[in-house]
Amino acid sequence: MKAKIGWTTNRLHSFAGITISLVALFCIPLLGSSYYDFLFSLALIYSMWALGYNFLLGYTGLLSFGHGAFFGLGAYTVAILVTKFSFKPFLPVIGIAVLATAFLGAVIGYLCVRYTEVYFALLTLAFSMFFYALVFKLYYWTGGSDGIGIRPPDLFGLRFSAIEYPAHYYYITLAFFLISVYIGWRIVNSPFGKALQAIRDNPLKAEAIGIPVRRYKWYAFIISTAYSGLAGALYAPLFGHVVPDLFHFLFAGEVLFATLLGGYTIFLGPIVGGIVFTVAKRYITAVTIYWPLVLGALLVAVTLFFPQGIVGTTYSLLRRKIGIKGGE
Amino acid sequence: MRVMSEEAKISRRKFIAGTVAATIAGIVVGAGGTYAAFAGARAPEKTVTTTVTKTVTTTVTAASPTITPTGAIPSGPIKLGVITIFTGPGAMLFDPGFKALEIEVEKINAQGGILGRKIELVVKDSGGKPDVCVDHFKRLVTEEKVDYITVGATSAEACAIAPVVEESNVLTIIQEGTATKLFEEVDTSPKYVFRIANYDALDAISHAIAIHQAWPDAKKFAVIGADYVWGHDEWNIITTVLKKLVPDMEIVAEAWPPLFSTDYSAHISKVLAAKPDVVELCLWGGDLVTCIKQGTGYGLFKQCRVSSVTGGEYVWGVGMECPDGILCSTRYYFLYPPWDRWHINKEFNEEFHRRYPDVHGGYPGFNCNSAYTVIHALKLAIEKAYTMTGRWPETEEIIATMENLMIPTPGGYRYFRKEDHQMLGYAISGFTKVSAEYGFAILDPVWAVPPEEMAPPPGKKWKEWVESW
Amino acid sequence: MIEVIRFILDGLFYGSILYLVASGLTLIFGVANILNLAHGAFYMLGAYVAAILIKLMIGTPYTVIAFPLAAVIVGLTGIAIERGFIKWIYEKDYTYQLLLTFGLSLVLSDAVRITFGTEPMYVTKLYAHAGAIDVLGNPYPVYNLIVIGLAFLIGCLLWLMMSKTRVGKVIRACALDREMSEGIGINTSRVFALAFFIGTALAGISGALVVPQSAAMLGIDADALIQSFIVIVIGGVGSMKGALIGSLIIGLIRAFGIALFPEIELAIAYLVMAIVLLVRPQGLFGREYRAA
Repeated sequence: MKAKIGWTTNRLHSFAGITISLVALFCIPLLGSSYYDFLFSLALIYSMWALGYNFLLGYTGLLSFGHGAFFGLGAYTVAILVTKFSFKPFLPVIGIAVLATAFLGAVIGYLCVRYTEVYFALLTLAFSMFFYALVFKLYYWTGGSDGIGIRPPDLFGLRFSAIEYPAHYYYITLAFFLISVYIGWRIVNSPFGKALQAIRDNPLKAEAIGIPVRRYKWYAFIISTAYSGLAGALYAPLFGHVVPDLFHFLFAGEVLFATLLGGYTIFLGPIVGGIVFTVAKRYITAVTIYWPLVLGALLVAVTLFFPQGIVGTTYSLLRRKIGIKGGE
Repeated sequence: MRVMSEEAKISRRKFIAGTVAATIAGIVVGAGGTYAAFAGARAPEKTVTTTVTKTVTTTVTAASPTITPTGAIPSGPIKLGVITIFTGPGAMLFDPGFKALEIEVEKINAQGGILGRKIELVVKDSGGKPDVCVDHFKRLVTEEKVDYITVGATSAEACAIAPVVEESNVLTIIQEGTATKLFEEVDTSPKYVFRIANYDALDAISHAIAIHQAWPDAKKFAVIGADYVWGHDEWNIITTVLKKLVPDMEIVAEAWPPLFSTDYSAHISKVLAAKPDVVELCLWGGDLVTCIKQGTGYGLFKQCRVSSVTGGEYVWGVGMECPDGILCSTRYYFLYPPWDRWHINKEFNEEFHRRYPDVHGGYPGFNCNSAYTVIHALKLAIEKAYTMTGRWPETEEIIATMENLMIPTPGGYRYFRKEDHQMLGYAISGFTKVSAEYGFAILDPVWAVPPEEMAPPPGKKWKEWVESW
Repeated sequence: MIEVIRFILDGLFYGSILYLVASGLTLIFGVANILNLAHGAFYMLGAYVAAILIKLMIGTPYTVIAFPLAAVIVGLTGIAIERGFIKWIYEKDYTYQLLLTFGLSLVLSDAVRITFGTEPMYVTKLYAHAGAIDVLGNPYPVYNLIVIGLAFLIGCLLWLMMSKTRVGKVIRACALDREMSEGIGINTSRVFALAFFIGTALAGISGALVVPQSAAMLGIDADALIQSFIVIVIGGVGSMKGALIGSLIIGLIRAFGIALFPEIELAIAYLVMAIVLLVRPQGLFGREYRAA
């Protein structure tokens, strides 16, 4: 994984690009159909999830199969608070979900970051499946395989159902998205972010120049779980229902796929990947009953031929052709 | 329905009054006929070997006679959205059901469709995942703009989709999705949601009644059940009912293998060690077949009596090696009502067997019966509403008709309950007996438990009702 | 006392099936350094292929051939996958192999569903005809005993091959040090293909042996994969001996756990896996592991 993070020196290009994207995102509800509000809320949720996930994969070089569990944890926290404890205020509920997930992420991450590569992947998988088994089994509290239906939370005292107000929910999700992207950008460009990249490229060298490798990996893990928790927390009221499958390692494969699809070498990659994956998956499942085959084939193709993902490959092509986006 | 013509618009009150009157008349006639037909099929108290003897000839044609429309009918086809499961372990349940749906839709279309409009299916696969199911539903409503929707859903999907349906104002008929809590907790006053199949609590209550009818002297019970909500809930209900019927019963052993386990040896050994009178197998699909197979190796069937709450649907998988005398229950059994007395069932089975001799043992299961019921209930409701209004009915009018609908299905008469939109039908129980003719074990003798005996009144939770016996 | 014997036999039986599938996974990892996430799909393929073959041959004395034949067919599929897809990523970062094998598992599982349909495939007559023998007064299925014996036999054959034959030595050399082996003229590419053949064939025969006493169904791939992970973690990733001991441990824990502590069956396995990874990541017999 030797590709470096490239960021454009051409400020005008990036400024224009960002403005256009923002305008586009704001205009989604104007497309009329509430289905698009729903779909793009989900797309932004996946983007946030992938963005956090990439802290581990792209920036630290750790591949986790456990982030479905943290997503699920955020979602179930919201579900249990709103439904079983009747604690309804929307923003505090999201906040608690993120904190709870980050806390558990800190505990599990502390154990996991001592290992690398395949062992790390296996360990995260084991923890994820352990929670899956637990959620499945303790059906008295968690609803088991039937899951939990979520009553709508309250926003500023008013009952706020994502089903009744999809456009409102979309804007709220967009707000969270923008905030989390901004925070992510700041982290990536901070000394901490640079240190992570150093760890990914050569852990021994990083250690030698004084970076506390294990501690920084731990921080990256916690950040990624916080993002996963946020994504899960926003997902819960959107669908109105949570099931234990969220904790299964196969679900973690979705964020892995989304990150890869967008490109894990560039900051923008997972964001684009989240959106593209969501829309593509929904489209594929709608048009064919062979969708697992198509998705699997897509993953194989991307891994073999476009490992840098959509954004990464585009950047490489542009760099070669136009030569504008310089800088290795 | 989107089409609304200004002429021949009848006031809503008159329409509903007329519907209610007609359907009350229909229920009285239907109930009388049903009772006559099935009274002899009640479980015999002591002698369990006698088969049903009353003969009533009922000639009901397979599809309802077509009504020639005269009022305003839109010209295009009816778009029926179908969300079902083609991938993953749940597919074995719903794929045959979809095939049955296709057969019936073809038949109806061949006779001109519903009031002259053909039915067009828009099919989506949810893979058993509630989020995909919800997504398909939204897409069908907003993008594909279907007229009505039917869902072949798991319990989790049904619970997930019900609130979304109620917000969307599209008539949605859930075929299975048999979670007891769907209408008890999740959607207590449904408007646009209807459910066809007998739900889990009904299966369990009728099965427990059947166990007691078959083996009134049994006192020690054990269970091998799938370790998830369904397995535990069913066992919980079965034991609650049994405790009412047999106050000194005791549970001597419980074993809970994970769902889709391939090895039951340890669980069978554990249960055998406790020497129960009856072993209940709260398993379905391949799990049940595997457990029965392995059980024979351990002598389970020689040492205890064995029962299975939804076994009737799956025992064909064991083939000719199935032990005789397992008490199985199910929501629909292909041989009941007997073909020589219930014409619809005969035709239904023969058509299915002709087209799909290798699917589901070659004969339809309860998913297929539900699929048949969905499309015919829709057809009947629309036609009845049409005779009231003189034009293509709106969704609310179809709902009003459906709420009081009774319809003949391959499994006998079934009817919707107005209060909770739940359809009720007979629960079937019988003992396995290997049949060389079919190549697998059939249920013989077989009898039915009628809904009144096993269904809690609407609004009452099963537990309160059973406790009050 | 009778129960204890029965639990031990049950544990051995379950462990035998696990040993076959897990040893395949660990062999591939040991030799080619690939954690094959599609391994469960090969197991499932073996089950379906065996179901079809047995149905074709039942009644004839050739029915037993169905099992090794299914294994060979799966092994050949394994080689095809390896040559077609996996060989492109040998030198690349470990993330590629996980991604690729994950994608392949989706493709293979769905291919199985498309080819064989959604219904479980049952096989009759075989399990029942094997009958039951008397073990201290209670019947015990003979088929289970046959499977235990077969697994033992295959294990011995594997051990013989690995330690005594030239092919085995070449494989072990590649597993220990790939570059060195290339240096002394071993065609590592062919060795990898061979490892894949043997590994996936083992998964295939494991799936095949399960069919007579249960069924070939969709969804058994994920379960087999997870169980294999647990076994190789406990036994040590890359170690055949570890796979054997690991699967026996899991088999026996499960059998006794069901009898004595039924509540914790599912979750406890994952917890044990996590604990082993934390305390001794190389498992019982794995290669020495240096923590990050």
